[in-house]
Amino acid sequence: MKRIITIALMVIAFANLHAQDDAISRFFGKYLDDSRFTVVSVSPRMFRLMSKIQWDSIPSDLKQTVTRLQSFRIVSTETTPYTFYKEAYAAIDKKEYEELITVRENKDDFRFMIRATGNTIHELLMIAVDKDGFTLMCFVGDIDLDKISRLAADLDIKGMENLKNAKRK
Amino acid sequence: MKVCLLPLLILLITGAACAQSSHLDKVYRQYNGGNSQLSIDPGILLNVSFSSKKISLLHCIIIDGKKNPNAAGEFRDLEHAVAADHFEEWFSIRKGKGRVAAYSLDGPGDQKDLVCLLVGEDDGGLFFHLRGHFTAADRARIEAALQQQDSQ
Repeated sequence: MKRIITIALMVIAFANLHAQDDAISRFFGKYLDDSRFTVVSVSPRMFRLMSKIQWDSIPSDLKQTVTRLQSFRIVSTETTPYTFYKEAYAAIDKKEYEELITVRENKDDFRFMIRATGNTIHELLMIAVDKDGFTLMCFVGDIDLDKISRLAADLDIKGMENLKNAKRK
Repeated sequence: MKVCLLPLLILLITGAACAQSSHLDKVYRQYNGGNSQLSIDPGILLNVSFSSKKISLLHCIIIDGKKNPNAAGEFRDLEHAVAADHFEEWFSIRKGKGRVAAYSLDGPGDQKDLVCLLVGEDDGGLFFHLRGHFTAADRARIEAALQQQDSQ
């Protein structure tokens, strides 16, 4: 009987590990297949593969940043951006996600939120809106804010320049 | 109870291993004119099984979205089969109806399956499935070639 309970517990624990999705799939998952949205998704498998390759032309600290990432996802749309921003921001669990930076100008809004345990940041979430569109972006892994902002600058991701001087309290 | 549990677990694991690629194979059988009336006139189907030790299987399906009214449904079936066969996603990019995705599956021993999918706004596109046997030495050679290309 003890063995059955142990196996059952292991199955539940394994299922929970798989259920630990990013904020986009937890709060905004219904729009992942919506044709109004552009979705970019890089899986943990891809990051594992990238970490095995010794790229010579990439600085070693950026390479280290990439190897510590587990997944990356962007969801964006040009359709009714302010409505979707409002819906997404309301859906995010504020007890779980700590607000890091807010940049607001008229109706435009950029927010960076993190999910952390102690000093370790597990997830960085950017939620942004302007007249051109709404963007929700999520990095999951062992995150160094400074290096992520460099990586994002190299990838030319709009709004990520706001992260450059971010420091946790 | 212990006696029952162990054979049951072994049966489950064996069943899961035998189920690999079965959904995709089912879709391919439809294209090959098995028990279905699926038309492939507008597209091109390249279905090659190699006898080489490295590449053991290649499926390439090209569907013209303008000529085939069910192109979207056929790509949807292929994507469902990939998910049902437990392929692991590498990356995916989707804008409107257009999308690009790559998946892989680790098979028994050194067998690896790689799937690439490209679908355009008109629902036409390309589906590519490669199965090969790549040893650690092969993978090291590929990585070395990539690094050499990168440093040039």
